[in-house]
Amino acid sequence: MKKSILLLPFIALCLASVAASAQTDTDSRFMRPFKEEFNASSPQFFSGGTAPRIFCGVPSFSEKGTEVMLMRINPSDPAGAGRGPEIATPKSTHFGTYSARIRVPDVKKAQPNVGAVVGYFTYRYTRGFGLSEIDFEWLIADPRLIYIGTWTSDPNNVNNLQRVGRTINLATGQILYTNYRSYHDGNRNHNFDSSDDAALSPRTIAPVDGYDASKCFYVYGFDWYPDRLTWWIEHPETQEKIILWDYQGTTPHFSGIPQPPTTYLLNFWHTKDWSVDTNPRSTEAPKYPYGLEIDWMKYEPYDAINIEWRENNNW
Amino acid sequence: MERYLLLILVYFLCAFSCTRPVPVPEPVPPEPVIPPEPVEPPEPSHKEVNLMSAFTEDFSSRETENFSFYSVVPEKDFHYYSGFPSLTETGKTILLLRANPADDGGDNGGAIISTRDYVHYGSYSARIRMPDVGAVQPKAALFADFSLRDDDPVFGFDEFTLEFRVADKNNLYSRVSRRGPDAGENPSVQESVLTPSSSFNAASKFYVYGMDWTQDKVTWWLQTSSSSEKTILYEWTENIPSEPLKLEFRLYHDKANPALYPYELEIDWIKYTPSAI
Repeated sequence: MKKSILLLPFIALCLASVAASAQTDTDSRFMRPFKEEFNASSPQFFSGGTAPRIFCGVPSFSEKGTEVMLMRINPSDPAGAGRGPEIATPKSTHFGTYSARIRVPDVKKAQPNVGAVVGYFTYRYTRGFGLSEIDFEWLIADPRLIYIGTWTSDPNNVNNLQRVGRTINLATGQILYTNYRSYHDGNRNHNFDSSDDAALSPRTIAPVDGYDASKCFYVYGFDWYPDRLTWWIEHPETQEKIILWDYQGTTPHFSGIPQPPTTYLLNFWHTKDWSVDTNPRSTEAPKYPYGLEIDWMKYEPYDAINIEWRENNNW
Repeated sequence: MERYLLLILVYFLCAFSCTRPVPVPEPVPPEPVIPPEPVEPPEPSHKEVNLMSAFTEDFSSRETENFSFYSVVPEKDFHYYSGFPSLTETGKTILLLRANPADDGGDNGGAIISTRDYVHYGSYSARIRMPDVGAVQPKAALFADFSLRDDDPVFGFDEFTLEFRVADKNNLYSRVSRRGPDAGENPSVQESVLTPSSSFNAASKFYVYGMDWTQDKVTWWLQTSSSSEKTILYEWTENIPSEPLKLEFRLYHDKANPALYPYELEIDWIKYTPSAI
């Protein structure tokens, strides 16, 4: 009897471990949790980038002792998303926590009207499920501003797009706007109803003193659940997580939260028609191969949620 | 009578003794002690320095054997990246020099690399690519100097330089500066514009630039292709420095029109071959 009592905790531990392993995602189509440190001469968990646009395992230009990936835009790159340097995971990612430590180039004096975008994001279109895109973006002409949001689409037509988004000046804490638009009514911007807490939370954001995405590295991230998406930044001194947008809303025609699996990416590209909100002239092609630094990128999947979603959606 | 004579004698004796004092010899001042002249060491006729042997620095690692990198605050210095992959030529490892918009400016206020010891008559060459700033900042006052140079309290200042004015990518400049040991003296400076060819563009690719220093001539040259043929850019035959100097490379701006972005200059290698003399 005494022996049996002693064995009980051991049995409980074994059962718990069996239960946990049942929730570990073993689907080979998907990335396992990783932290890409960019310490070697090529990325371990990403593909797509080579010299002379991407240099891995090189010392940072702004922080001693930090090895980074340097990504350089080329002045001859054509305008358009994804037409500059880009890295992507070779396998799918899905619901989970995504984070990265990034410093965008400081071009404010050299070329204040440059039209260039740094995108830290997920993206994939799957016929029958639609587009699955979640974004952090910076227009480097004004690196005090952060653009966050999602793109989804008609399940069978990637050109029928739907957007929810928020733009923040984090140096002042000002939320410039939180809105949505879709193909259902001609892609006109709409503000969320002012009483819609699920779509507008938080309503105020404390400024991060001196925030400028080009001055130093910051850790950015988002937590993606089937019914909730939270974008955040770590305060550079306290490491406190500052919530930029905790979206659980919906719109008349779509929820705005992507559902299908996706791909994890980072890119740097020239835009000729998307100017930063504070400077309508910022659409010039880059005049020098400006360099973006990425210290690391991380992915922590929510295995149980992902397994359940695939079972329910016959994926 | 005798008594009178005696009195007269005493009178004269007294009178003479009062009017003509016995001269006392003047005190003789002591001979001044003259300290011995300080014995100045003879002016050296040559710089007493260590001379470097022949080397080719290929910047393949993060440390270099032959050069020192000048930094005011090393932990905050982002000018020098040895062992960095070339930004423009895949597979090469280079020394990346970055301009810093916050630099003080002037040739002592930017990036400076210098040989650890002195060099002398011989041949110097380097494979270099300038950043292309023509579109973004065509009037940038950004300079890159490939020099033999030294400022010595006894022998004065000597410099001969092949200068790149980075925004003027089609031309090169030669400069010879000499000044005596008096620091107040203005150096004599002679500059020339060198236009290698109508198609020359220092930012379009790596070129090999060189200097040959002999007792009676300094020659700047350029290798425009992979062949070893040299195009002579300039020859200087007057007042040639005869003392050892240091081989240096500087990247700096003029604060009046500073670099607005940390433009990157690439050096593939630097080579020194001393002459036999």
